[in-house]
Amino acid sequence: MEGFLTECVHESLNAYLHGNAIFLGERLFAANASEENAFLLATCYLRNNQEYRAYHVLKGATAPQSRYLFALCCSKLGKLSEAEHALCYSCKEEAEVPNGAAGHYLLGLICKQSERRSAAVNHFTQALTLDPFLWSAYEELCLLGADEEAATLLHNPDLDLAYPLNPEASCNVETAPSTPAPINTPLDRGEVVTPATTGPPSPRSRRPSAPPPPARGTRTQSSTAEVATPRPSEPRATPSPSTFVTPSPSTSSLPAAPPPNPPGKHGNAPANRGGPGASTSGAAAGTPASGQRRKFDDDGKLRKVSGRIDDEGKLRKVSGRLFAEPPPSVSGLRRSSRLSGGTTSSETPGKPPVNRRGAQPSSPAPQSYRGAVASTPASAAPKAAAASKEPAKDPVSGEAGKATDGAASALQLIRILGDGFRQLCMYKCQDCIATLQQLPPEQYASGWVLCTLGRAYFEMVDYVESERAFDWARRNDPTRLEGLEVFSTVLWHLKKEVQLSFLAQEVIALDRLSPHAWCVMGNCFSLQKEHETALRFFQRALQLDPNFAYAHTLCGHEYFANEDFEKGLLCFRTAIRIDERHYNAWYGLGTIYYRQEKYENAEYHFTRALTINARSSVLHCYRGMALHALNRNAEALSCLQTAIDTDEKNPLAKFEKASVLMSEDRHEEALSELEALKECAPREASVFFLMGKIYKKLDKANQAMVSFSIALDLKPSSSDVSLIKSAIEKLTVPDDSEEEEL
Amino acid sequence: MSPYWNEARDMGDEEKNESRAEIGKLAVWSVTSAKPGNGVEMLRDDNLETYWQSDGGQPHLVNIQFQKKVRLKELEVYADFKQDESYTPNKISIRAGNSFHDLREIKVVDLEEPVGWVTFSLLPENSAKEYIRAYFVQLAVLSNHQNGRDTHIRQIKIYGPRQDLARAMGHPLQFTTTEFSMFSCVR
Repeated sequence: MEGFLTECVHESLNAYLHGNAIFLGERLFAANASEENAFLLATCYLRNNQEYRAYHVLKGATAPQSRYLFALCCSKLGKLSEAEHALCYSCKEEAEVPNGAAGHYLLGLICKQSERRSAAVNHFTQALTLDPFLWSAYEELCLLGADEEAATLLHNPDLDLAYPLNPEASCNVETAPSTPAPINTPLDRGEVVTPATTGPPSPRSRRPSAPPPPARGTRTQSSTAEVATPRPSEPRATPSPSTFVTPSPSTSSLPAAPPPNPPGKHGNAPANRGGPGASTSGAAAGTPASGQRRKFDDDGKLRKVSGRIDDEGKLRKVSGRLFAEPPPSVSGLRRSSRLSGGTTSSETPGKPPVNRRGAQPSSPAPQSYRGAVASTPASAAPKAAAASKEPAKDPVSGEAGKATDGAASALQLIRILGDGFRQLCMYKCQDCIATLQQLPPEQYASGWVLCTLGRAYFEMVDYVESERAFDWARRNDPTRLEGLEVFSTVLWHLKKEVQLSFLAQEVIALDRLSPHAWCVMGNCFSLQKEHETALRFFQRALQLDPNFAYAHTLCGHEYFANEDFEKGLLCFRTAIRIDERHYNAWYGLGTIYYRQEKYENAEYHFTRALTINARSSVLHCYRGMALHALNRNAEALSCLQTAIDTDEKNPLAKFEKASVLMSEDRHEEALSELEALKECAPREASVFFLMGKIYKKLDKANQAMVSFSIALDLKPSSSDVSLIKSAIEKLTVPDDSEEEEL
Repeated sequence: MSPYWNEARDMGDEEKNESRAEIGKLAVWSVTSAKPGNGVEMLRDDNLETYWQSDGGQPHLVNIQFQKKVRLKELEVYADFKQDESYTPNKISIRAGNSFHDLREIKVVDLEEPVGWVTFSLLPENSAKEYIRAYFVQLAVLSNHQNGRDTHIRQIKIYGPRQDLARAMGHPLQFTTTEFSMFSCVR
């Protein structure tokens, strides 16, 4: 009976009939309270979200699987020490962490929550070594700031060995999911992608010229190998195949044009073998690709399209070059190391730019998609999600080696995404955007990628682009709520009340139990200056997820707006306790101290924020303001200059610089700064007000009057109007009593 | 419409919210007399159904004492003649100063069957000032409608001026353009 009941339980679980499964499981457990039965029963409870019951059932279990499940329940119930004990009790021998990679990941999470960063990093690293596709572990590593470890893990040459790229197969793979990139990466092995290594975008991408843009469409990069022939058949290309581990090289790949085929290998000309077959498929592939390309071209939404089109021209040229060179050299494919003939070399992370999006050439990511070089320029159409059409062309590639190829292409994909995410966590936003643009169009148009892109633009203070990315994400994936709190902040910055209200209503209707949705609501009310209500909503978000660092930060900002500094400090500190790399919270602490006139503290906190995100011009600007308040004007000026250099569009930095210059009595320079500022922000009353004050100091009362009048014209708020008017009245009065006491 | 929209008292009152902040939580509130069950806490519970009922001789006083000198802008009282009739205050005097014995009357207001929030500005007439500074504010109910002895007050809120981010960071004016305000903070 036991065996039968076990089967029944499994069936119920598969059909998601949790109640039934639990009932039968309990019968089974009552009949024989063995560990396997306990494990099964606990699984039923867990699927039904009843961790506490599973906890009690599994208490004392010793089998690895049971221990893992027990640890999972404990961690969900918040009993971290028990969870750790369960996972580790025989950890001395390091023999097992139950479930290998997953167990290490769980341990890593526990360590992270108990603030043992290095232990957490170790565990995540272990997890990734055991299972390179454990994306969550990689994500956690990046969030902890373990940049080098993450990069090394991802671009580990051994991975390429483990998941060799089967050229022929890769073709198939390519076409189908149109993820050109993955393939290339494995080749790279030795090269590790550091951006530095990216060679000139060229060779690889050049492929485009290859006759029909074979399916690839997406990745122009296609390794040089492809160049040789329109057909990707390279993989077949003979020379390398031997070096490749992939099974049945020749047969499989052929398939359609997968142009990009693994880099390295092809080195040589597209194999003659590939040629004939390829050409036909290539042709076939070509058309769809071009068709796709059209589609992408039509999508004028993203500006990148035009960029892309421009790149097409470049690509064409490049491809010409490629053809001239011997294929191997051209491919910078990483494979070269692997291939005897391949010169790969450049693999160049750089390619990415060319790749589809025509984006910045610098992209660091390894990308090399096998890419449809040919079609790439057009196909790159980042936006077009239609890329999926390509699979149609996908040829037959042999089944053999399909699984490995699948893994290899998945690896490629993960690498790009991983690099992009890692760069975002390091706040290298430009690089992140470039990396992500190497993705195949259909992956690019997915919710996670677009939200990440939106966040990258947000960190660069490019709110307009960020809004566009998020809008697109919402169109493609309307039920996705993670990441929308950033979108709401973007709309908050842009002061778009209507859109923010609409977004808030939509997300709350979707899911009332999502902390992200409540953050959106909170931001909406904060924009309306309803700070009490906003606070309530942020606290609701925190009730749903107490470890949501950003919600703590937002609470802190609301307390600050209410001038409740003690609570604000507490909130920011909690956010930092949860996530030390949350630079917004460090900044928040700095603003509170600045407001309380504790400028030393403020400067310290701004500096800490800057160590995490050194590319934020707003942070530099604030640090400059703090230094100015401390009368360290020289440093303040250099800081502000850094702010200006980092982001030309930051008007506040220039404004502050003018203020500092004015305080140093360098009136002329201040005036020139303000004049320049007038050009960029012609409707800003503060600029004219400051100019008026400087003119007054220079005794140019008339010009001061003019400036003040313009300031008045620009309709500042009512309290400011009185301020400006009193300034006008005092024009005749000497400077000393100028500032109204606050 | 989602019910959450009703939670905000006044969505359209952005100007008001921008210019003032409720600071009653910084003060100690006391009353001269109260009926058991209708004490001073009913004045501050954000519930318009509950009220404070006095239980002594007139004038009935509500004392609001701050720990440090704060900036004050206005006072709001919720009174409801329809529900409270003869308990509704009729004449209210507002005094401010440094301590209980050092108060100066700054406003006297007559209410005529009020239903809802009544706002009393604490600023002197025709003054450009945005606030007054005081330690102590006293609200005195001098008489009630229909000559009632005791009074009901349902809620009192006291507001100070709100300092916006720009001024908090030392800039004299608020920013009028989005370009400036976008870069003015990290959120």
